[in-house]
Amino acid sequence: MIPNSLTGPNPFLLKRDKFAEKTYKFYVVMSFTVHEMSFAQAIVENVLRLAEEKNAKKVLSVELELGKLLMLNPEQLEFCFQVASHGTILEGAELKVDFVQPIIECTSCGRKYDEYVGICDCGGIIRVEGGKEMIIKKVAMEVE
Amino acid sequence: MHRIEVEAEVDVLSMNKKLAAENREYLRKHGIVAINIMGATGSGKTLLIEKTVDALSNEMKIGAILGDVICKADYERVVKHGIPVEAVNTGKECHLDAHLIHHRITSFKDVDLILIENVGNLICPVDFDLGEDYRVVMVSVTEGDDVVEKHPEIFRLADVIIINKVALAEAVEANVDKMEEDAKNLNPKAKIIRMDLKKDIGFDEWLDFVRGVVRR
Repeated sequence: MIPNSLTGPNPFLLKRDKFAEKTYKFYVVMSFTVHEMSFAQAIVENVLRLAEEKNAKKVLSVELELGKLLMLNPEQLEFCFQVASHGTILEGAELKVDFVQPIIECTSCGRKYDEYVGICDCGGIIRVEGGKEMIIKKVAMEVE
Repeated sequence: MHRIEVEAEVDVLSMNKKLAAENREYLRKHGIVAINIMGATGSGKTLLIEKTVDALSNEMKIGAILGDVICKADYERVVKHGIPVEAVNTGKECHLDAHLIHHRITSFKDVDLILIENVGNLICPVDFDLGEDYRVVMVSVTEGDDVVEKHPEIFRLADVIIINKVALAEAVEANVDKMEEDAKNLNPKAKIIRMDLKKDIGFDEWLDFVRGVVRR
């Protein structure tokens, strides 16, 4: 749930003037982690654009593919998503996160790893592919 | 009212990637090398820039972009060294991104090198490509000798890893060998420099790196 101090209208998304934007950013930064907030705002802005194109009245859910190596905390992301979407047609939408594992593989022996290591046990160099994605896969919305 | 499901396939980070590519193209066209210097607050990023400017200004034209959440303290320090400097206050953001530095980069035309000081932390800047040519991560022994293993991503993607303030290692009981070992394990390809800027340790090695990468 969004704390009481943040339940006022979200001036950043309702009214795009500089002062409102600054005020909102300030009270967001005073409240919690900022890293996840940048990503949450980007998600909200992208989904709003999509919803506008479809003339949606409400967004119900957003399915997100998230690379493990972005090292985002899903609970914090969810919380920031609630705040960033407050006062918009995304408010209350469910954020479903699917984590994408990177390929972490030795270039010499081909051994695969779950977690990142720089050098393989055989001494070979490790290749990393993917794990940095943030893709909005599906958006469910209500339209007229 | 009815429910629809849209197959979106929207890359949230695509805007940053696109702007980073534009920044890179601008730099390439003007023959400018950009170095993104990342590291925690107090690791020595600003001093590194000041000393580099003093040492190399007679060999190349240098510009600097200084990112900070608030205030212009770093800007005021560097601008005294007589080079073009752009300050970026990020406000709430904990990192620079390609958009924030886009206009700053394009204000530099007649320089060989741009030194970019990122916002002081080891987590957020890692996923925001600025369009730079090289990534430098600077840590100091006073951050604790486990600082490298605690932040694998930023070290994995670095071209140069600087371990600064090594002259203080004994006083703060930091094991510099462990820090270097951790860095090598995470990133065998990176150049690792042991440095103490106040004692001029490792600084020449850094200058050689900079001379080597700047196309003249």
